[in-house]
Amino acid sequence: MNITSAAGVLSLLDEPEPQLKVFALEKLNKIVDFFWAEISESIDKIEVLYEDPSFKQKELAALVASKVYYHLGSFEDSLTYALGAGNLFNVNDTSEYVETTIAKCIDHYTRLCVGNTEGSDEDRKPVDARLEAIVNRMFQRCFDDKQYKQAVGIALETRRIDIFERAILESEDVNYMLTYSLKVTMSLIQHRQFRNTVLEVLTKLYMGLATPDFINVCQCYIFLDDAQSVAEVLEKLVKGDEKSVLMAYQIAFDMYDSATQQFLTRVQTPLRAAAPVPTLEKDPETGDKKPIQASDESEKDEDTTEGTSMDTSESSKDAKDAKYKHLSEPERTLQDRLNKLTGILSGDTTIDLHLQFLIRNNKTDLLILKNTKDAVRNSVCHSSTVIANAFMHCGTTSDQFLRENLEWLARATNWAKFTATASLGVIHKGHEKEALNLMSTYLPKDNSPGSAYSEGGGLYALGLIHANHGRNITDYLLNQVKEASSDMVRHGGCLGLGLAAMGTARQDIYEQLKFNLYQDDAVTGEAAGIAMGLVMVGTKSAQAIEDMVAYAQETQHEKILRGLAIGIALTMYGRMEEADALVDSLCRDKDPILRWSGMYTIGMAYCGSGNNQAIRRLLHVAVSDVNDDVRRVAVTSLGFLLFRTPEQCPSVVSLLSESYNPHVRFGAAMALGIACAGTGLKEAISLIEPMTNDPVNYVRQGALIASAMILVQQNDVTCPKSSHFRQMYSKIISDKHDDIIAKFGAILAQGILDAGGRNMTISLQSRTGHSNLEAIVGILVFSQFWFWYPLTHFLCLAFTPTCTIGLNSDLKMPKLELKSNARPSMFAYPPNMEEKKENKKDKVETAILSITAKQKKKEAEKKKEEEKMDVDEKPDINTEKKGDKSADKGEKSSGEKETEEEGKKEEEKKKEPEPNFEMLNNPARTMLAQLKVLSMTEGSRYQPLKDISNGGIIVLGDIKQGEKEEIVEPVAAGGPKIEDEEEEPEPPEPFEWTED
Amino acid sequence: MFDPEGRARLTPASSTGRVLISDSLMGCTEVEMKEASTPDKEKTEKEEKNEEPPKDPELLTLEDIRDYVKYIEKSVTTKEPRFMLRVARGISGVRHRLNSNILRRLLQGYMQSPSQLAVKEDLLTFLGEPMLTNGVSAQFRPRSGKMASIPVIPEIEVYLHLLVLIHLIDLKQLEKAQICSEKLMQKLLLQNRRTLDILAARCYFYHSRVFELNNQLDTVRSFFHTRLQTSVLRSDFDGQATLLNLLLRNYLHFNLIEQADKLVSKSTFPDHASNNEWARFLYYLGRIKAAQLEYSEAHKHLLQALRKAPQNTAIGFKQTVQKLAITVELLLGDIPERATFRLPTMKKTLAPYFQLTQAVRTGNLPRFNEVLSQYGSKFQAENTYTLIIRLRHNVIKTGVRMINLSYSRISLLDIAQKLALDSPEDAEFIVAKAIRDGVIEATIDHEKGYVQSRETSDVYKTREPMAAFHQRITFCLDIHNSSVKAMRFPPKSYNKDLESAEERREREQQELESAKEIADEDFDGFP
Repeated sequence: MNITSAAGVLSLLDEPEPQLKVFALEKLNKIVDFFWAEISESIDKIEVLYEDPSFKQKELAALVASKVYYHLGSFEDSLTYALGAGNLFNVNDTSEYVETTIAKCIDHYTRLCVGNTEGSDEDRKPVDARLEAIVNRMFQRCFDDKQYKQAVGIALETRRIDIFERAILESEDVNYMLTYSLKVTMSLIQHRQFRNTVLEVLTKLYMGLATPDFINVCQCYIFLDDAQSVAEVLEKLVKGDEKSVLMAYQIAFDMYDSATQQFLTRVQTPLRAAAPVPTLEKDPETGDKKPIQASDESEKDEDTTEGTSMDTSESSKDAKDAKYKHLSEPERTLQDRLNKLTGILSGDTTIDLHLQFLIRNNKTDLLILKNTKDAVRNSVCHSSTVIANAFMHCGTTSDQFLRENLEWLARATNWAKFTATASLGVIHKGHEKEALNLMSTYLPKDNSPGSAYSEGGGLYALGLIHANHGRNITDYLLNQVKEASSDMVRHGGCLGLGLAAMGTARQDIYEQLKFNLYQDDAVTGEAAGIAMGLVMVGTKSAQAIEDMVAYAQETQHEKILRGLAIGIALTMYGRMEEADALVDSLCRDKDPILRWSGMYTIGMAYCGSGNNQAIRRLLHVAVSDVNDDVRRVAVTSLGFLLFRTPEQCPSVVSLLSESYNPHVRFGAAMALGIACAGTGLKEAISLIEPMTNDPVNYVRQGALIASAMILVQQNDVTCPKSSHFRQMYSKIISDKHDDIIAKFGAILAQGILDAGGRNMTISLQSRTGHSNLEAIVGILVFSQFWFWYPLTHFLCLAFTPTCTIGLNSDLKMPKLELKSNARPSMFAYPPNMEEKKENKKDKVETAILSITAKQKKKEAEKKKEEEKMDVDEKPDINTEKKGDKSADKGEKSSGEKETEEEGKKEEEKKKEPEPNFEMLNNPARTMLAQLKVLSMTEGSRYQPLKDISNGGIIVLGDIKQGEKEEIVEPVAAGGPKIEDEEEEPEPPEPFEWTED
Repeated sequence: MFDPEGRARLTPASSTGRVLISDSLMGCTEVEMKEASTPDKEKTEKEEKNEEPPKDPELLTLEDIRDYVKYIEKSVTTKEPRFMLRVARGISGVRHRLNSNILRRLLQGYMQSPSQLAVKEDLLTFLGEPMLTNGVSAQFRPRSGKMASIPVIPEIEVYLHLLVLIHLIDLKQLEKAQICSEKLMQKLLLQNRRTLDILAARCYFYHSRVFELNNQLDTVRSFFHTRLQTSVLRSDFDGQATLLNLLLRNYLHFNLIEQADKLVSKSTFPDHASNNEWARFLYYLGRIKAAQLEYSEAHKHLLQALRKAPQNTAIGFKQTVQKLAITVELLLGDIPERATFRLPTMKKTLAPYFQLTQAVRTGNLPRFNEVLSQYGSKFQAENTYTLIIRLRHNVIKTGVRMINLSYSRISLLDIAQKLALDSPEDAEFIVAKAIRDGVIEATIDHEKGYVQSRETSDVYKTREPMAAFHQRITFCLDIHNSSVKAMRFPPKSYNKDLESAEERREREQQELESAKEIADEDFDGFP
């Protein structure tokens, strides 16, 4: 460089001759990179030139100005002038200046577009055409370079649907791009409205494929809340060939997994109408509203098991049967198929299958309960033991423990009695056919005045059994609530009604609940508030919000206020930014309960979204509010936001978990428990562990419960800390000096850890990645155990069975083996507790394992001998059956002594090296991590319709149609029984309450 | 102009007390010395331990470098700049122990992978033919087995390249060094790694140094401009600070003070830059301000530069800054403290300035002229000459003030005599100017030809002491705040010394039990 200053060139700008100015600008353009500091002093002269209409080389002036601003670090101005430079600004240049400016350009464009699509009409700004041109040129470059993913990303950022569509269509692998886009859309787009627009495009594209991907299309429709389209798709499939029918079933199963009750009803209605013999609506508006008597309900159940409609009256059923007979053969099959489909959509099939799975695989360790029972002395621990028992047996229908300890159980009084009765509902969760029969002892009757507490508990239990699936029971419950005389019954009735009618937004139920609320009775009002929220969950009903907020500001009762606080939060479930206005007004309230309601509302509205703004807001409140409750709830709500990315949660709450404020620490523990539930995440555990030694008793309680939520179903291989925590729980329970509050937590933790006979986990999202409404609602209400312990039962809504169930076209479980490519110990049940003395039960169970192991070995040998699978299958199954039978026998004869032979076998087994795979029988218990290593056996006669590693219920296509299939025999409900007992499941013996 | 790379750095020998004082213009940049404190000390200890079987010094150096390379790897894997800083500090410690043999062995040891053969050969050519020493001592094998075939990470490659470059500079093979340096720059341009920033900053520094020694400083200016912009965009604080300083140095080298000033005013020096870079920057700032007659600003900057400079080392740098600071202080009309000139490290080099100060202090113009003629060339070499010329006026002013303080009334004739002025009229003009400038408080009686001094007021009645105290207090608070900011806390150890929750529970339980016991005893005592 030969000049040392730009002053000379700059002085040329003052010359009157335009040519000189142009020359100066050209010169400046060359040296601007080194003399920008000096030129920036005269930037105004250049700007004047740019704005001078008579000056020819305006663009050059703009370019120089842009570069100067760029060097000065003022990128916004730089961008403005770069746009003014027109073609002189060369987008294909690779210089740093151009790259930076383009990056800023895209950022700016994104901001503008987002502002325009999301903002109101007034603050809509016109987008500079030149700006858009540059962005378009960048898109073109992406296409030219085949960077379609980049194009999709930027198109979504800039809200450019046209580019988005083009990027997908032009890519080489459209299917892959669609999957990718769907994933990106669901995980990254936080704005609801725009997400819907994108989803609409996606469904259009999916349907346009050569072989439309119906599974994904229907997933999109769920997000779009478009029941009509789903129904159309299903109808089309059902009328198709065998394979598409199976596909329809599979979709229906997925739908039930992910969609709300209300949505499913809307899907079913047109489907029913499409059938040759339209089935009667089960909706109470059209169906019969006659109160159902408990007695004849059970009878009816008997003969409706093979049918589909369960509450149509006898007469209409006859008529239907008659019509059915007149149908032609193809119509009949269609009718059958549609019936099955609606059965699946209504959830009956899924619930039945889960129930079967849970009953069959129940592996509860009763010794844990026994030890706990022996160790505890006071009423709080008594109640918690009852609840823990309920959790352990959730859905297994085994009330063995209660029946064995009737006398002990009878110690429960008042609300404890209420809780104990309700715990039956948890145990029989999903056991809908027998529900009224089972609970009949406890339900309110006209003739005999029973205990109000157990009647209330009975209604609550009915709600729990029918949670989120209460078409058959809501009217019964509604009547009971109307007729109830005491506040305890009303309390239980409201809760039960809320549970059963969850998400239906039925006006008559809502009105009844509101009526109960307006009684201004503390006990009833609390339940009514929660129930209103449950019924209206996720509807954002303006009416409901207004009612609840208005009454909350009026009422004097804190209990009612708390109920309403939860109700308000529930109503806003999943509404994201639509809840912001409500949250703002709640957070400004001077009543702390309404403020924490606001916090829960954030948690509910943004649940699973991980929205940064929401997280920031919660964190701010968590450290700034004056009220402990509000802070605790704010921290807890973080868990709801982060459950999709559990690995992030520990870092977010790590500092809060060491807060000086015990409420905040408790909240941090709960947040971890919620967000990392069922993951066994190491980081989360290491944060929780110090809190189990906290000096404050309730923090210990929270830490214990949260640890169990995280470690549920984990064994020593998947999470080495789990046995340590197991021991800790029993140590705390047996420690005389420990605080009752902490013990309560430890006992609950034991229950949670072994939830549902060790076959259930806590999962806030469904297998398809949708937020699991039932689970989220369950955990939210569960977190209210802080104020009102009977609400603890709500946690059972969050339990999901970890199963993989294969179904044939008859929706029956065929005998089937799945291969899990991992060492059996990897995902084994945790070992049972060993009693100091002789523990018969324990050993019997291990003996069973040894038999199956041996038998499997035999199978393997046989397979080696005979290569032909067809021949092989039959004897195999026979032995299998034997194995099953002996297993059953072993279970049933829990009192019998084990034989020496079995003991020997056990030893043998230990010596054998562990195989690196395991065969699982249908229905199989498969933990989440296990799904990855799951595969069909080679040469199996069944073909799954979707990837088996998704888990859940999978419909199987049969290669060898016509051959006889082996079906897994259904097992009876009611837990282990003495063998010669009659088939009919017995309700638990009525137990006496001693009033003291 | 001081020597930026600093010859006067502490060698391990000097850590035992010998301090090299350069008597000429060699300064020393601060960087060099800090590092000597840690690794060098360890080394000396090591050496002491191993005194009986005197270990090959080459081997020791190799081992040290191997340690540094390990730090580099650690820094890259953990993304923790702390380790890289240590390496950067260690460069000068390693520098004086380098020889071609060591470098050759290093290159052989690290660049074993086939993909880096070309690089290795390239670097080896710079080192010339291997000297035939007492048989090649045991092969240096820092990495073995599989590791050998994996190419080293770019950070290590750059580090080794830098060592070669520094060695070439030390050997005064400047032609070669320039080629080597340009190759190094090529390598850096290709990388965009944040872990490389600190090393890259050192590379720029030596790059500039090579060109300065070759008297081609103006040719690299544009290169540094582009790199500066890049590092600003990448938030590379170390690069930004170093490059800004290099550019300033470049401008000042050619006396392009205006350019330098504009660059400074239009760019921001990163807050996070190391103290050493800050010290340099403040010194350059001081020079710019001094040249632009903003003496108080200049003095402030120079003082800060002195404070930011390392305490025990970088003597050359401090000497250079001190010289300028003294000159500026004199220009401000203040007299530097005598203690400044007595410091053992400063005494010799500051002697001319001491005489100058004495001349100014007494307002003795003849003496001043004498000093100027005696040391003129020296001042010129030190770039203070133009400033010192400006002092003449100050000498006169000081003289006037001294007279004003000593005499309540004095005739203009006497003043002319004392200040060696030509005539009383000249004296009158000068006094009048001094009164107008507020240097003295007096009145001139023109007719009678004398100057009447006013009574001096009590300074403690004014707000001046308060202002002075306020200034000092803010300064102290600033220091406190910045030192708090500069502190580093290892993560997760803030609660280490607190008792754990379990301990606390145990203690509380024990206390409770003992309280119970006491209560029981009490109860027993009084049935």
